[in-house]
Amino acid sequence: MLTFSHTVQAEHGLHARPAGKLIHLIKPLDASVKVKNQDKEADAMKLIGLMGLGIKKGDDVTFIIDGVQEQDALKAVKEFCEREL
Amino acid sequence: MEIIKGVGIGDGLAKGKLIPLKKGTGGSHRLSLPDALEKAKALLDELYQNAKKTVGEEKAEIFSIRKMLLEDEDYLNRLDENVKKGLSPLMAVEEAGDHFFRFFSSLEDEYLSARAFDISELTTLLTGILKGEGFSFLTPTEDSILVMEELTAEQVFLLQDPKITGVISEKGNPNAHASILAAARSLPLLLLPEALSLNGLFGDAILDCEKGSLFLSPDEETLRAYEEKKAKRKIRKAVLQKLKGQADKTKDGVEIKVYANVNHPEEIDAVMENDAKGVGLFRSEFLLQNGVLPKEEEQFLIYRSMLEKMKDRLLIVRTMDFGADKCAPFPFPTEERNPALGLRGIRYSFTFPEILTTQLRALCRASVYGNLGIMFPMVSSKGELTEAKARLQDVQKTLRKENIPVKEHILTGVMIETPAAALISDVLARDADFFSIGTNDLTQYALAADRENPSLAPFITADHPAIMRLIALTAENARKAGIWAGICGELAKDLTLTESLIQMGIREFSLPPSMILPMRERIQNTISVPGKESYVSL
Repeated sequence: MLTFSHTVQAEHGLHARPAGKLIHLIKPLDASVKVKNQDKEADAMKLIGLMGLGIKKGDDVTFIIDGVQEQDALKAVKEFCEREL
Repeated sequence: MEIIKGVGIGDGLAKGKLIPLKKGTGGSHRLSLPDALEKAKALLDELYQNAKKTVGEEKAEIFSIRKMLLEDEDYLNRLDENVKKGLSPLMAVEEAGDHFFRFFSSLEDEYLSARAFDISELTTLLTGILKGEGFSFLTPTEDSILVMEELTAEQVFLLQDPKITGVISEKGNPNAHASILAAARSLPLLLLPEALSLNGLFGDAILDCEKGSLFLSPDEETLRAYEEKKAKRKIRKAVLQKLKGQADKTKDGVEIKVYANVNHPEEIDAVMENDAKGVGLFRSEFLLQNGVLPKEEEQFLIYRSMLEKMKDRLLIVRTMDFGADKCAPFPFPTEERNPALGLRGIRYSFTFPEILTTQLRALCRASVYGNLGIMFPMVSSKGELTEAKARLQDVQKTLRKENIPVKEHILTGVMIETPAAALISDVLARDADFFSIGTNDLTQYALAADRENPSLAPFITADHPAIMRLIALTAENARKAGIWAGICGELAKDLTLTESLIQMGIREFSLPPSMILPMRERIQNTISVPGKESYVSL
């Protein structure tokens, strides 16, 4: 299991469009990714759940990554955070 | 030949075979839920591709987000549970729609809570498919005019096939989103009067939106007239195209501002396409959707995107003008015995101040992204203007305190639409950067004739000397104060009055985008100084 934390820089937080991109990145990989924002947690593959986290600029989010391709998933998540979040 | 009258959207012309789009009759046409979901996804894919080509990737994104919502596990689980509970597919979709609508509405983030709208649109799409409302018309084999119960905004994007020359909608109204989009995309559309159905009609037809007429089985003469009109249009269009990029100057060199009237943000494309030098009136109350107003963040994004698209051209936003006939139902309904003389315009805004404050905040935040002007509707006294401007200044001050950038000076104008405003325009001019005369209301108030009452129509003449005097007075007072006066009502569209109005001192016309180039042509042929035979005798 790998974890990765990130402070949200994006002006509008994790909205539908970036959330959709995240899902597309992770979907093909054999790994489970969970996103944690304070006490709320959601599966990174679920759009509605992700949006329900209400991730805003300045929030500290943690990604919890597990599975065969967890290294690839971590790389994808890191890149995603740099570019979109 | 039979002629059917309706309300034409735009001035399009179309010829083709009528194809009635049959509604599902239930029974054999019914789809299973999984099939309906697949169909919806395929449809959203198609919409995405079409929209990407025509309106760009950013706007098209909405369809891919909706598709992702449809594929969302939580959403699918909810549907599943509903079916297991014994609900029909239709009920299952409606319940899930309701559930997630409430979920999104409850989110504090304004942008996310706006996703509730996507959910309700998805519900409509899915229930439509479940009811068997087909989309098989997508690839007709010959030129066709579609006949449907009600054209939706999404369907406007679906109708990409060049063989679909026009649409007849049995329901709908000219201000609905679908109508606006159809006009923006130059799709000939005819709305039928209530209770008239064309179901079961086939055969050749000609649609003339300008006349609001549908000719069934057109005779030789009508066909010839159609071909002639089409040819003339083509020539006319070429003439008008040449005017793009030219200045709006009279023969004697006076610059006139030719701006566009806009009801929906999507229309900015048409504004730019027709080379309007600005937007003279954005009727922002049309942002109200199903009785819900977009929140500050969403409004900000809308205004910002409009301003960015317009580059440095002026965008004048009229603050939300609720009351009377505008956009009912309003966010806060009012009881009115006499709506036209009831609580409306700026007075409505003062009564429900949070609407105005939210809008002014969004506008001020967007002001740094382009050239923004704000104008207030239905101002009738100096006090009302002072109050409105104070609200604007308060918002600017608060935003600065929050370290949010706001433009130093935002042009602030007044709608002149009551006789009182026109009569004290000398006083109002001292505190305004411009006037915009709303001739529709000015006419109804000056002539004491309800414009919604058809039996009064013969008494409402927009070029009544009383109206002309009020306009002349307003223009004169504007000139003296060194500000400009424009007209944004129906009267601006009457090109036979253009020269007289310019001679009275009118320096701006705000018109539907399609009228911009004809107005430019007209202005280039006018003289700004009255001759001996002035058209209007005051």
